[in-house]
Amino acid sequence: MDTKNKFFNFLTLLMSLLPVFILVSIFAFVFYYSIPAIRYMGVRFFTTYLWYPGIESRPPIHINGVTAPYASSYGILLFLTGTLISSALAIVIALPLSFLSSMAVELYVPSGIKKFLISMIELFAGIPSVIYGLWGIIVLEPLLFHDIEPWMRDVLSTVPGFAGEIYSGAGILASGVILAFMIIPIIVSVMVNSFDTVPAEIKHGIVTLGATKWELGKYLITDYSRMSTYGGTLLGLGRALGETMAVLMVSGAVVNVLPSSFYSAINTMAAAVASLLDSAFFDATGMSISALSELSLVLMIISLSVNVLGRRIAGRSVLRGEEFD
Amino acid sequence: MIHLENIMETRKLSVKAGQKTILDNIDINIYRHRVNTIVGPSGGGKSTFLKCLNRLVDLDSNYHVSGDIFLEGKNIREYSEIELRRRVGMVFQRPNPFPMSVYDNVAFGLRLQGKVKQHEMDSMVKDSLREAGLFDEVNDNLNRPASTLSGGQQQRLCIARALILKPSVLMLDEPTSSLDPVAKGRIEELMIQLRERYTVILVTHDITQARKVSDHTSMLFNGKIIASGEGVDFLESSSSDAMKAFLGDATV
Repeated sequence: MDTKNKFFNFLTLLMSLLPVFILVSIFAFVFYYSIPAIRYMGVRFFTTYLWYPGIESRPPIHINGVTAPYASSYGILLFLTGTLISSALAIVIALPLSFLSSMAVELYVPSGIKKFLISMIELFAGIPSVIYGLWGIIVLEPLLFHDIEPWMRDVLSTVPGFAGEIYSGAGILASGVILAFMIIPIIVSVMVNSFDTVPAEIKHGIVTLGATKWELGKYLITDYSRMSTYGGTLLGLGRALGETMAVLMVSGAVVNVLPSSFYSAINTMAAAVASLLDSAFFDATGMSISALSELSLVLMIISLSVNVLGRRIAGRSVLRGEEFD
Repeated sequence: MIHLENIMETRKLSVKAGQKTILDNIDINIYRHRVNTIVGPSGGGKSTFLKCLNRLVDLDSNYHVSGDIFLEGKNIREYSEIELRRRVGMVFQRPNPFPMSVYDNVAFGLRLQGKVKQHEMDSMVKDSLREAGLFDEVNDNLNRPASTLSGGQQQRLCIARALILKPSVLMLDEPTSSLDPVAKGRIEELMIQLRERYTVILVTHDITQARKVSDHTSMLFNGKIIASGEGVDFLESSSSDAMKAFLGDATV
């Protein structure tokens, strides 16, 4: 019996350490594979947007003790820009919509419908991203291409970034909209939870001073629970930064062309890893794989940092709610 | 003979939550510039009664309210919820300062009303703090967080926050139940002072407190008013078993 207990204790300890082990080993693996690219590209990895696998017919070159295809270049500036712009756009679209959704769910619908709506919102978060991408290609891209983008160009032509050629509907706007739809459930979920943690005394105190529902909601979300709002937004941002498939399908997946307007095609770090991996295996020097590993490493550091920060901030505000309870 | 003038009255006020009756045909008068006290054991419907008077009860869809409530002779349904709640202020059992400064707490309701000039707001905030008997204790730094005040000070801050809207009626729902005896005494003195300018409705299960401050008392028991009259002493002469049990418990 004692041996069984010891074994069980050992097993649970092992299982509890498993997530840490997996995370550390993935990080170590990605870092290890990145080393040749770090030595080959140095800081230029971040400062150039040229991603070129080199000329196979010429002998490989040797720089800083590593071998790379002739004339090859691995710069992530385009992917970094694409990731940041599409994620920022997603936040700009998602934040006001999430705010309005949370207000509606919390203050304007009966409690029975509220539960139904929250479960629907949670279901949204579970839809596979490829389905968002498919919807983006079939519905969103034609809508952007034929209607919305020409209208925006006409109306906003004097605003920087809104003039210029319209190519296909795939690009920054499509990526931003798709990502926004994907992160709205995350932000709404955090906002609704933070709303629920506000003590009834505080809500009643505000209402008895003659606040309207709108004023109550606005104060709770943007002021009382603002740290939760920040946290939820960062969690959404974390998801947007790392999203791969849906963005790959609607971004246009370009390389070597920096965007000139909001209608331009783009590429993101996650989408680039997915789309360039196949061809990278043909690089006999292994440098393309190493460069994609370094790209993954950068993406991982950014995503993890944003997620950790979001969780800490969202968690802190919940504690603050309890303090006043 | 004192002339008593109604400021509020309820007629056949009943509240149900599902099948459970919380208030049953309450007819009660609230007299102007008096401390109108509702006493009774916990769970008797006292807080629900107060929440009916400013329609806070409407926030919970489980409650069904019937009957009429009048403020200044006009049915409260004829006021907007916002206007009603500004005219019938409320302070809760536990102090509920908002996580902001003393000044911002008091100014909160005023800011909701729209633009008020800064110097007017300063003056109104200070006046309200004076009325709540808190000004001298916080005047050195109105920007300190409200959470740094003692429990009694926080409760007087909540009273100041309600008073800045110049309500006709101020409802206090067991306002001293979480306070120490000294802080409790301060609030009781304050209630007596406030009745000169406001109508006070006090809900309490503390008969000793009612004896100190109440001008007119109603006993609410199991959702029904079982006695009502001037002062508190009339309760002692009641032959009701419920009353005797309550007074017996309350004086222990």
